[in-house]
Formats: sequence, structure tokens, C-alpha cells
Amino acid sequence: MKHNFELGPGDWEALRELLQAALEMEPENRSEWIESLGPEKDDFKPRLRALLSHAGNSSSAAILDTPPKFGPEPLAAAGELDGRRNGDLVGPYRLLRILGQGGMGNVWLAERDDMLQRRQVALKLPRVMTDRAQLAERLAREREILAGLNHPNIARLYDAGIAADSQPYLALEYVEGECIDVYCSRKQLDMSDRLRLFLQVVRAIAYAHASLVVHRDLKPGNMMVTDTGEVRLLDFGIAKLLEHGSSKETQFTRMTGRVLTPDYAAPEQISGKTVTTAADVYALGVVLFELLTGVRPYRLKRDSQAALEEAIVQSEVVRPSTAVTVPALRRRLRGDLDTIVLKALKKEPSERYATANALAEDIERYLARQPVLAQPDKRSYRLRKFIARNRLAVAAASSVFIAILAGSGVSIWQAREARIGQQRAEEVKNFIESIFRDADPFSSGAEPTVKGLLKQAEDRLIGRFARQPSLRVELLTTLASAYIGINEFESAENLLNEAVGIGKSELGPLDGLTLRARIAMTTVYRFRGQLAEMQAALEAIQTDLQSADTVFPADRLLAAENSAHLAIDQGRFTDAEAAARDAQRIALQYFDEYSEQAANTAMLVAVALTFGPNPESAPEASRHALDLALKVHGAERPHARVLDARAILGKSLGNAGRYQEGAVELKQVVEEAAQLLGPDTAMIGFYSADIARFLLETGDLHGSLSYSQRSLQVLSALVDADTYTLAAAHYNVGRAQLALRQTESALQSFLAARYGMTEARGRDSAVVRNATAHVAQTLALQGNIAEAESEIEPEIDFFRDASGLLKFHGLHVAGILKRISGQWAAADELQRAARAAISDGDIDARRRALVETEFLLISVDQGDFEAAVRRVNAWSRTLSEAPPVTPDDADRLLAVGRAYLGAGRPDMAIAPLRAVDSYWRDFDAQSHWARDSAYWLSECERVLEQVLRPRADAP
Amino acid sequence: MSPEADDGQNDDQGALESVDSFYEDAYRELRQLARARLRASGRNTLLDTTMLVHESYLRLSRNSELAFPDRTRFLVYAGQAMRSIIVDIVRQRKSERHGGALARVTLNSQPANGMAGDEDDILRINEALEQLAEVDKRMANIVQMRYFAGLTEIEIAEALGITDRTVRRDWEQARLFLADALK
Repeated sequence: MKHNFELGPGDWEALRELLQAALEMEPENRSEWIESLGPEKDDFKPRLRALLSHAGNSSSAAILDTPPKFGPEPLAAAGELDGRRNGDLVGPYRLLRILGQGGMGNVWLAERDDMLQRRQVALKLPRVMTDRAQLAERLAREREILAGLNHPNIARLYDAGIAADSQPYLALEYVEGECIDVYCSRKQLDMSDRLRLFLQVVRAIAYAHASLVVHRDLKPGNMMVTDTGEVRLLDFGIAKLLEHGSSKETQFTRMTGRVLTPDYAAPEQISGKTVTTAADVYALGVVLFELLTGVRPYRLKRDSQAALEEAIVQSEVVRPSTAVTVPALRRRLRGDLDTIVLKALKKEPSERYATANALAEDIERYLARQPVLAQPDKRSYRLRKFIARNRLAVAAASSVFIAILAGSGVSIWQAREARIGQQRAEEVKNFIESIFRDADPFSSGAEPTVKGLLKQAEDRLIGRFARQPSLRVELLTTLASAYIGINEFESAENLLNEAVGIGKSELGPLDGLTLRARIAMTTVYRFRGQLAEMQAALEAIQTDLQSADTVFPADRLLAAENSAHLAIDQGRFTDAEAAARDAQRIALQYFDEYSEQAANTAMLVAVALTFGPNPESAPEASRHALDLALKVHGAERPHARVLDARAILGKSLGNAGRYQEGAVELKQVVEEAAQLLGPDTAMIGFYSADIARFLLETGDLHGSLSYSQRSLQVLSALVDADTYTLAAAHYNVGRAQLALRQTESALQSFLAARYGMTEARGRDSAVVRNATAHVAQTLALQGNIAEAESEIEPEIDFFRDASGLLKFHGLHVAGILKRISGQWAAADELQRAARAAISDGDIDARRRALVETEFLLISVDQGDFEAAVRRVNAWSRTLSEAPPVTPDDADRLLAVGRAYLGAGRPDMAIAPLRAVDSYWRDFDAQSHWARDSAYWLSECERVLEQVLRPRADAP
Repeated sequence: MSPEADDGQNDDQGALESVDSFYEDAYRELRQLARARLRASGRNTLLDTTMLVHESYLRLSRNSELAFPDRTRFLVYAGQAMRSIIVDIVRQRKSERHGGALARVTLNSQPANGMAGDEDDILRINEALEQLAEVDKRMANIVQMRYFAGLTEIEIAEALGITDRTVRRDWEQARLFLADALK
């Protein structure tokens, strides 16, 4: 290279000055100015002209304006890479040569070593950092699913496993060809040819989606074209395989870039939300954009991964027609192609093409010069309005859509598994798509309801497919499931009756489709509360499931879930737990560990445990269910499933005696429910009642009262006065009032509760008797002993035969009254029986304290102060010394003080009595409890003075 | 260790050594980040040197227990370091490409086209910059900081203790000199 700067130091300065002067003038004046320079500058003139020729848009100067550019990573020297070389064995495969390398790992051409199959494969050796056992299991599961993908345009996955040195490997069909973008530009394909080639891609993706496989990492590099012009898609499901387990390495991936290149990732993938088939539709949109325009759909301010991710999630995609400069090309793209591409590239998954097939069909329509179904963007305004007006209906519609997707999945799965003709699967799909096509909400003025849509479908089914019983059964069941989704149980039942009838006579009761209809029917029974029918049907189904050979996983799962629901509804919680765990196993076996199914079944397990005989283990299971729900549904905004899961967590904590934690969770539930559903929904009423219950146990009595009142207020707007629900709300308010010693209002609340419960459950029901016990307790606190006795006396035998809290409350109150009337032995016996009805756990801490107070008072009232002091000495310090939080605590400390005082230990009595006195001064200085405690304190002080004075007066 | 405390001879020596080892750390850090970025991307890449430099500065200033030079001195150093890192990477890649004439297939099946020429540009700019440094060290320094480390005119001006107008003027001229050398 010539030396460009050969100038002396003085010359350099002179040259720079001249150059600066030239740069500061208008470009067109520069050459004239150079000529005008004196002859002593002649040496500089050629140099100046040369330099100034680069000013403005010189390409050489422009190189400096972009950051350093790099090509892709070079391949390593032939035959060796990452410590492996030609001829090495990986699992049963012998490496032949390197095919490629990249951030995710390397690919070798390889051959099976055992000569069983002399087939050459592309052997992928991914770099994965994850637990080996976990990966092995996942590889096995995925291998099973992917091996079922049998399509001429999809490269086969032959094998996957882990070699002895822990290297996972995937053996794929070896495809000779080039990437679709390279192929298009090398062949200089015109737009129609590009679209036709791309159609092969879309159709293959649609096939995979129908088999419930999402690609997740579609990009031109995975779309090969052979020299005969056939597309082969690579790497199905592999992204998912590699993605998992690396979630722990986020720090690592953040530093070195994620495993997947973000260039073709959908917004929901970037933001880490649930990935569905819609993400593949998005990636197809990016590739189509690139094939049509030669550029990517985003204009970036900066070239960095962060900027790209930001653009994908936030910025609007430019129209393909505005991304090109050639006018003819621009004209061709404008209109339908713009619309098609932009619809595939919607940020919101639900606004994209619902299926890859729909995208394919629009491209075909375009090629056939028919109008495309996608609508330009101005319609989205109307769609938003439609959604705004029909929130619930749209939510239901998406559940319909899910049912339908699952439905067509069933046929295709069965077509493969049971060798039923492919034709039926196609027909199911066409039928369903026709309903959606014809019900375009914008084609006519009227907006369809989901129900209307389903009715339309039902009408269309009348008299059709009579000679294809499987098809008819499947369509009937699919529609029925959709009806269940919108709570139209009667329509669902009619359709299912027909489906089961045809299924049993034409296909046999053990046929997969017949079973599907039978299982769906149990859901109808469940929502209708027909538990006996549900039980009979489920028992028969569980037996048949064992001998049936073709059962779709989703049906097997539903049967198990319904068995769990049934057991929960019947109060058989141990059975419920077993059924729920069964459902969970099925969900994990056939679905993703972070799938909705996994989350739902985890939740069922949590519910069964929470209300079952061993609630201590429930919080852990509930926490797990909540974590899953958050993973599946996202934590950014409230989601009904997440709320349910958190509510169960809250309840399980409370039921395990962890009242404080439980109240915290439930308060969050109430807050989020108010955001999600509005402030006056039943959910808020019920959970506020639970919060009130828990706060009562923590001693936060005012909090308890306020939540119980909120619960009552919300529920009384929603339910009738004579319902159990409203009565229970009154009862909760009463308990808080009673604990606060607001006896007048407590009595009113308990009487209202008892009235409602009598109306709803009858006067001999347990809940009414429980209310009676509380009425009696309130009367007793008011000093109305005779009336209290007349309430409780007739019920004592009932309470003796009862169990749990019911027994405790009844006998405890009866015992208090016996003590007050001086029947010490009877009082003692009743409190012992009450104590035996409750547990030793945290859950009953407050109730145990109440019984202890009574035992103490029985001794104190009898004047047996020595026994009383012995009892106090046996207590924990919390019980005998902690400052009172509630009036019940104050009662207990007062009894302690009286015991010491009676036993001649005023020095020990003074502290508790002072604490009680000051407690009541703060709490309710006018009450008779305040007067009582003031009296006992002054008694104690008087005695102390007598004890001290003689000593003080002593000489 | 705080710089104010370094008043003794030995302490000065210690401070100098730790600054040296700080630069070693910085160099390693920058190189690792750059390689990781390129490897992760796999395909043709514009190396976002601006982000690299700022990120490594933040990481080092948070982690380093060593005497830590101020930001401006770090930026001058970063220009020099990034230049040698980038040139090293390009040279290494060139020799690897030479050895293995293989086509790229799956995983990242983009064939190696186009950008190899851009890597040659980097080497040519490096050579021209060496020559420029012989006649005008400051100008070369500015190019180094702007092109290789992606710093802004303001940052360069602060680091070199000159005005941003001077930086802009030098840069405009440097573009022309280098373009002429590259043609």
C-alpha cells in the first residue's frame, strides 16, 4: 500500500489548514478556489482535489460512519470442532464431516455405526446447559411427538438421545439444498414464484400445527429448498427442547445473547409470554416480508439486539410497499400483499391469522386474483369496539376456538394413530373453518353472538354426515364443548346425547370418539350439579378407559379432572386428591410442564389438599399451583386463573393455621379481583369473608369487622335475603362484633344469620344450631344468663354428638354458662369435651386459649387459687404474660391476676392486672369489663399497700 | 483503596500496578463481551461497540476492587483496546476461513456471503490509521475512539480535553484522509 501521509510536519499543518478552509466553503466553489491558490501551493493542489472528492457521500468515507461489520463466525478448520473430529462416535453415530456451526451448537454429517441403517443424517450437537436427567426425559417425550410429524415438506427427526459423554444429539433428515432467501435471490424468482414457494412452507407449518406442534424458531435458515424446488423445514420443536432448562441461565444468556436469534421472534416470545401457534404465524410474516422486499420489517435507530427487541415489541411494522424503492415493486405490494403481511405481523397474537392455513388461503386467493379475507387496518378500530362491547362473548369465543383447535387436533392424531382415513380430519377442519368464515362479524351489519355462531353451526349439521358416523360424532361433541364453554348446558346435553347414541351404536362404546362424548357429558352433569349421574357416568368411563385403545390425551385428562371435581363436590377429599394427582400425571405426560393443563391440575391438587384431612401440606401445593399459573398466564395483569390459584393459596394457608399469611394473599386477591371484575362481584364478597375469618384468628378484630362488613355489603346486593350465603355473611359480621364485645350489634347479626340459615337449611340444621350457640354466648356476655341457658340447654346433646368447630363452640358456650351458675364439675367436663374437639396445631391456638381461660376461671370462681396458680405456671409465657391484644386475651389475664391475688401473691398479680386495666381504658373505658378490671386492680393495689405499709412503718 | 491515601512512594507504585491490572481486566472484559456478541449472533453483525464499551465500564466499575481510573481515562483506553480486540478477531477469523472452506448448513444456515469484505475493510482502516498516527496522533486517536469504540463527539472531547468542535473538525478531515487511503 502506498504511504498516504508522506509529508513533513510543517507540510501536514499547511495541508490541514487548506483542507479546513475548503471544507468551510460551499462545495461548488472549492475547485475554483484551489485553482486560485498561488504557485507555492502547487504541491498541495492534486492532494486537495483528491481529498475533497471524498467529501459528501463517498462510499469509502461512509465505511467509517458505521460500526465495524463482521461476517458470520467462520467454520473451524476441516475435521475438528469443539474437540470432536471426523470418525468420532456420538451415541450410535459416526461423524463424517462438519456441516455447520453456530451459537446453539454444531451440525455434523453422520452415519449410524451399527449398520442397521446406513442412512446419512444431519447430527445436531446442541450446546445445552441443563440437568441431564431432565433433558433425557424431555428428549424422549419430544422425540415421540416429533417422530409423528410425517410431511413431505418437513425434515424428519429420526432419533434423539444423550451420548455417554452427556452430549445430547438429534439425528435429522439430511437435506441438501439452500435457504429459501438465498434460493430466491439466486434464481431471481419473481413475486408469484416466491409466493408459491412460500406456500409450501405455510402448508407444512399448518400440518404441524394441526398435530399440535409449534416450531418456535422459524427463519429462512430453517427453510431449505432442494434443487428440485421443494421446501424442507428443519428443526421442528427443537427450539422448545433447547429453550427449557436454560431459563435458569438468564444471566448467562443475557450476556451472550439468547439461544434463539430474535430476528424472527414474535413480541410474545421476546417478552417471555406463552408461545402458541400464533408465534409461528408471526415468524412466517417476517420471512414473507423479507422474501417480498429483501429487507426486514423494522427500521432500527440503533443496531443492537436490545434495539431490535424493543422494535419487535413496540414499534409499528412498516408496510412492505414502503420498504422498497422500485416503483413497480412498490405498486405490486401495495394493497393486498401489504394487508396479508401486516395481518401476520400483528403485535397481538389474537389479531393475527388464526391459523397458518388461513394465511395460506389468503396467499392463494391473492395468486388467484380473488379478494383476500384479511382486512386493512382501519377495521381494527371496529374490531376493538366490538371487543369492548362484547368482552365476555369474545372471551368465550376464544374458548370456542380452543375447543375447535383441540377438536381438529383429535382427528388428525387419530388419523395417524388409528389409521382412520386422513379425509375425516380434513372434513372436520373444513366444516369448522366454514363456520368462522361465514360468520365474519364485519361482513354484515349485525354483530354475531357466540351463541348465534354455534346455533348456525348446529343448524348446518342437521341431516349431514349421516353416513360418516365418526365425523358426525366428533362434530357434535366439538359443538357441545363449545356450548359448555358459554354455559348453554341444555344445548350441550342434547348434542351430546345424540353423539353418545350414534357413537355407541355405530362406533362402539369403547371408541375414542364415543368416549370423548361421554366424558364431555360428565362436564354437563358437573355444572348442573347432577352429582349422582356424574358419578355413575365417570365410574363407567374409568372402567372403559382401561380397555379402550384410542383415547385422546385431552379426554383422558378431562375424565380425571372431572373425577377430582366430583370427589371435591361430594366432600371425599382423599379420593379427590388421588384423582387430582392422576390428572396431574396425565397433564405432565402429554402436555408441557408449563402448560395450562399442568397449571389447572396443580390447582386441583391444591384444592383437594386444602379442604382435605391434612391441610398442612396444602400451602406448598398451592404455592406451586400459583407459580405455574403465573408462568402460564403472566404476572403483568390480573388473570382469573391466577386469582383462583392465589385464593386457594390464601385459603390453604389459613386452613393450615397460617392465618396472617393467608390474609395477605387473600387481600391481594380481593384487590386484583376488583381491578379485573369490578368492586362488587361475588368473588370479592366471598374472599372478604375469608379474610375476616383469618383476621379474627390473628387478633386484628377491627380489620376482621371491616372485611366482614364489606363482604356483607357486596353479597347483599347480589343474593336474596333468605339465602345461606347472606346468612353466613351476617354470621361473620357477628363473630367480629362479638370478639369486639359489641354485644348489641353482635346479637342482631347472629339473629339475622340464624333467620337466614333456618330459611335456607331448616331449623334443625347444624349451621342453625351453631348460630344458636353464638346467640347464647352473646346473651351471656350481656349478663342475660337465663335467656342464654334457655337457648343452649336443648342443644347440648346435639353438640356432644357433633364434631370439630361445631362441637367446640356449642360445648364451650354451654360450659361457660355452667360455670356462671356454679356447676363446676359440669363446666369442667364440658370444657374438656370442647378441648378434645379441636387440634393441637396453630389453627386452633385461639380456641385452646379460650378453654384455658375457662379452666382457670373454674378454679378461681371456686376459690381454689392454689390449683389456679399451678395451672398458670404450666402455661407458656405467651399465654400467661403477653400483653392482651383482644378482649379474650384481657379476660384471660384478668383471671391470671385474680388467681395470684387469691393465692396471696399480689406482687405477681399486679402486672397482669395493670395490663388488663390499661387495655380496657383504651378499648372501651365505659364497658363493665373496664369497671371490673379497674376494681380488681384497685383491690390488688390495696392488698399490696397493706403488705408494704407495715414494713415501711417499721422502725 | 482511595487515591487520596496514596501519598507514599510504595503506595504510588501499588496504585500504578493496580491500574495496570485494571486495564488487563478491562481488556479481558471487552474481548469476552465482543466475542460473546459475535458468537451469539452467528450471522452477519454490526458490532455495537458503543454498548460494549459502556457495559464493560459499568461492570468493571461495579465489580473492580482495584484502583479505578476515572471514566474519561477509561474511554481513551477503550478506544485503543477495542481497536486491537476487533483487529485480532478479524485476523483470527480470516485464518480460520482460509483453513476450512466449508459451506454453512443448518443451525444458522445462512451461507457466508457478503460481509467477509467488510472484515477486510476493518483491517485496511487499521493500517491506514497506523500511518495517520505517525503524522497526527490526536486525529488518529479520535478516529480510534469513534470508529472502534463508538464514542460520541462529546465523550471524545471530554476524554481528550478539547472542544467537541475540534473533535468534529478533526473527524471530518480524518474521514477524507482515510477515504483517500482506502480507495
